[in-house]
Amino acid sequence: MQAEQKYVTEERSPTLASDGRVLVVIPAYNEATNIASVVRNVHLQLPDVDILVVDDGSIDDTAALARAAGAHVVSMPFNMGYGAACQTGFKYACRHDYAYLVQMDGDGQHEPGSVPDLLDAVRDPQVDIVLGSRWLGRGDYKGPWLRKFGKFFFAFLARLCTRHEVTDPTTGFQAMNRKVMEFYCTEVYPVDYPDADMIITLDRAGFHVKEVPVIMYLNRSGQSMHAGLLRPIYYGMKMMMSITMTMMRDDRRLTLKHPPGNGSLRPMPPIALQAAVPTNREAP
Amino acid sequence: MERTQVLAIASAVLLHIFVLDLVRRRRLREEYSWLWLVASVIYLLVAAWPPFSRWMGALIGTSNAASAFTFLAFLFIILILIQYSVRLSKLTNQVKDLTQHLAIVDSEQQELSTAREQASGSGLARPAELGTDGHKEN
Repeated sequence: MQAEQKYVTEERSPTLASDGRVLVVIPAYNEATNIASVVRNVHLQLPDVDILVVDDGSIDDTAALARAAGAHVVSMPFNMGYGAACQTGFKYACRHDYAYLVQMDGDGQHEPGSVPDLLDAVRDPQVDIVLGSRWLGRGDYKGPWLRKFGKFFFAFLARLCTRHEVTDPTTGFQAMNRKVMEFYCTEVYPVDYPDADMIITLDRAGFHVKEVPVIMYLNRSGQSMHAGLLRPIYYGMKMMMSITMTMMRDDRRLTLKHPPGNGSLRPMPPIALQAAVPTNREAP
Repeated sequence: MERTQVLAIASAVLLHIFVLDLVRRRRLREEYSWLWLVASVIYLLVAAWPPFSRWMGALIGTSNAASAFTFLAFLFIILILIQYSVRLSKLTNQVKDLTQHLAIVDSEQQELSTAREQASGSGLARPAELGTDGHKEN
């Protein structure tokens, strides 16, 4: 294994990722009830994309069910949080040389029928990352008032900082190209919960962000990541702080050629497993 | 000599010996030990040599040597704790990276061995480039 300059994307991506392979990354923590149907529905929509379920230390059968449904599975040895699980998916995608990546939740909140819309939008060379918004046009999401207020407030802040229309900055339903994937593999990506601050960071680093309407449902089973009384307060404070910090950072540091380093591991070298590993798509 | 002074000198010496012993038993790494050794030496100076604590008081601008000592000790402890938080953030990041790396490599290894089992199970020849135990030779 040799250390190669993984960050210089201009030289890499056109040759190696030109076939436009797509990976759908689904972080999942104890989603045994929903994961199989989510994986199957994505396959129904897009038969020739690969699906990776990042099992974030689940104590139920999430990993086995996802594998049986035809997904690749990466199992974290213990629960590391939503952001770390997503980043594992980004690292996997870079290592296996995917050109585009779609990120969606494994709890059935995100409608698989919207995945093709996101992909169509991200294949535009003018666009680097596409955010699925439940507020743009369609969808019937109705949340608790506090969450609604929080989303409105941070959407307002994001709009203020980036001077773009960002209606749904907290969305976990997004599609990105290789450049954003590699950017997300660095230390800029927050390990707990990526949010409005990440969109501002992307904007300041010069990536082109676009929003596309998607369909989202209310979480039917399981708990919200921001449930309770203290957690929303902590979340709001943390968000304010990270947005302020993001605005105070020197954005020249945020280019891919000079990723910030805080004891970060060298990027994983790419691997050519495709010949050896068949996708277990034969399963129903 | 006052009893408090004896107590202070004794505890400074004990602290110094304790830190050295931790290093000897490999419970504390050398690079973390020097800070505590310096701290215990300063502690000893303050306890055993009154002009030193008077000088410390003059430095801060108080005639009260005890409050000068408390102030400096407090500052020292806070700086150490911040330094530990920084180090902890770095370690957290490294643990995260390693865990992700491990999880990805583990899943690839599993898929490889599953593929090989299927190949040998269906009577196909085992691919030659794969080692006998599935591990990559380094």
